[in-house]
Amino acid sequence: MKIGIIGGLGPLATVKFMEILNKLLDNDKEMQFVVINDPTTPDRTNYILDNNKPNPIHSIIEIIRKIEIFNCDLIVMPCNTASYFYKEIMANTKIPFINIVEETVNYLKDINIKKVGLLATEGTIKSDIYKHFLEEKCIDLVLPNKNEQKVISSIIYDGIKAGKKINMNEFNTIIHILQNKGCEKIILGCTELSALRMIYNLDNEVLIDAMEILAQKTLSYKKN
Amino acid sequence: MDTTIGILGNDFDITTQFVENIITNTKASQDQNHIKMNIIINNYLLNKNINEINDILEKIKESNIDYLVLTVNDRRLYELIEKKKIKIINKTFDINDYNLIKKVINICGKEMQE
Repeated sequence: MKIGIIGGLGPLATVKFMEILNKLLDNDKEMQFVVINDPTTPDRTNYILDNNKPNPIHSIIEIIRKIEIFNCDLIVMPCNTASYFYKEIMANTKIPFINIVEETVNYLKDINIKKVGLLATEGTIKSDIYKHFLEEKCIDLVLPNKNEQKVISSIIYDGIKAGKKINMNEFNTIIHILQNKGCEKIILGCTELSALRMIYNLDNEVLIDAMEILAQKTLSYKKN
Repeated sequence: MDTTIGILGNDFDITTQFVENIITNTKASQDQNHIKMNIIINNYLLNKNINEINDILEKIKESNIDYLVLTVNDRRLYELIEKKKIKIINKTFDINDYNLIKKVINICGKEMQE
């Protein structure tokens, strides 16, 4: 089976996604991969917060066109914020597409979670994409407050994306705050935070890594 | 216009490591400063016949790369790439070759991370 990966959103998260896939592949040589890694794709949060900024969908569709050249069987996209565009993505290709947000919420429903926290970009939060899927499954959502979200955004943009060290105390404090608000699990709803989990070896069972769930769904997908 | 690097390999682990080496060694304060890469990993690459390999190389050309890097050592493959007139950065591959990483980064007009 040939998997097409919409990559570069961001580039470090893409390669960490490849690492997770590699770990899960367990020497399965039947899988082939095409990763079109375009980090020049305009920032997704910038566009969601201000539609006058460059729209990343054009770049995403160009990436899809390149994936199509290689006759892939499946397209996946390790980026939560870009899932805002999932309807346009699906409308622009005949190749099946797995939605990281939808699959993460499906997983939470399968393990009977009733209340969940979300760590994500401002774009993901403003788009209500997690809220939409969680409400369908009757799962309550708790978000960081304004100041806590500023910290998360800084960790993502000034930390991980900029290749700088992270203050893990601040990150862990926000996790505890969400847990104290009754969250049974906390979604790492930004693939840069998934990268952070891998780089800093975070082993906290309360964390649900959306990118790890996407990797599992990718490898368990069966061609019809 | 940003340079696009094609990366072709037959080993997922090694190719992933190579891609990570490029990313972590590129000086970039934001995503948009990183290198565009079209990465193709086919485990059966070296088992394919000439027509099949040429087909893959045609698709790589069609995906609009400027340069190609191979993450595998195979003479036949290198010869086919040269016949297709694809600009290739490396003649041999070693995952520990820091100079290759530097060459890729520089050819894309980027700087090395200090």
